[in-house]
Amino acid sequence: MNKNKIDNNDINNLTFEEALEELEKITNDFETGESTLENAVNLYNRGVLLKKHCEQKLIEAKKKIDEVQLNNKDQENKKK
Amino acid sequence: MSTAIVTHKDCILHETGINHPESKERLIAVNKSLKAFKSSKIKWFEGQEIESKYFYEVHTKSYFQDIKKKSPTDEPYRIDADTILSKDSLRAALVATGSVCKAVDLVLKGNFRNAFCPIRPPGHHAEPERAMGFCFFNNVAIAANYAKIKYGINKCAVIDFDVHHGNGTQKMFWDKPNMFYASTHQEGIFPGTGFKDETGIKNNIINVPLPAGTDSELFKKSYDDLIIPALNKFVPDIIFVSAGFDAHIDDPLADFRLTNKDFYWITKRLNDFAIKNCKGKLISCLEGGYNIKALTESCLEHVKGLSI
Repeated sequence: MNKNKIDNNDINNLTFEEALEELEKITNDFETGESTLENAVNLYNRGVLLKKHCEQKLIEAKKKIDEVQLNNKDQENKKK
Repeated sequence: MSTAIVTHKDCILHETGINHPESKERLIAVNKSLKAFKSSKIKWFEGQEIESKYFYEVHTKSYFQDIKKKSPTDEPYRIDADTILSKDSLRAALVATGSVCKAVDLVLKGNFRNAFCPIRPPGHHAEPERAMGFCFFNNVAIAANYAKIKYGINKCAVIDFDVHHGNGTQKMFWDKPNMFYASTHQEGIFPGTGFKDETGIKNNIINVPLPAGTDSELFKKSYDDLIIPALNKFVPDIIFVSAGFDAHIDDPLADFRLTNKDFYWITKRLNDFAIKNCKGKLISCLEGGYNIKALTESCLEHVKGLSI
């Protein structure tokens, strides 16, 4: 049970690098096994949200790369 | 003089990160608003860190060492989903506790009738060996023990009107019949404790869990019918208040419907009790309250209620 109802909203404002760094920290915390069960569940939930956020950022980045490649291709075809 | 306000500038050094409700902006806004309230009955003081022996009456030595060990030099350490330990959190927590103890000094030496401590991090969830719910050290419990040890105070009462149950304070007072803890709080939310049947070793714990939507009427009735009569029976020498303002209707973390005026009402009710039964001795410290506008306005009502 968390006190902060709006705690995970901050994830939306994280950059890919920030989210990944926090995700790595959570993974490390799990590996050391020091968390209580309740903390571990909270961290796991946050980790899932961070993973989703990272995936979304990667999809957005891939979309941008595809768009740039498509534009380049169009321009090359026009030149021909 | 009526009321001392005791705080410390380093309380704002505790960093909780973006979008965390327990932010330094809370305290900055509260202090700004209270300083703008000019009254000849109020005087400001700065607290200081206390000797560790007073800490170890409430928290274990190993817990204190653990917090010290986990204190980061750079990036914050996440104790749990709520509780963030930044590089200066320990310093902030120590001066927060020290401010409440300074308030004890001022009141028990007879310089002031009562005191309010706008401090952070808050304390009432902190257990003897566990930080949680934004809290590291139980400010109010440490100050109550400080009053007992340093000034020989016999019976201390803590009244907690924060919307969350003060599980830490309850745990520390549970088997101490000369320590009384009473709380009104929203049922079913964090930290999941504070049921009616949790009564302590000698009925020295009074829990009044209230439903979401609780308004002025039910809140006042809880004090008039249950808590004040129990307090009368206990006959305290001094009253401490865990003053959380997150039962306000605009607070984002809970679902009570209190207004600024209700915080004036409860303050005056407790102040009147203290004047009648404890020679006025009352020390209040800030716990929750996460809508900054509601918090500053409610704190001002609280101080008005103390300084009348």
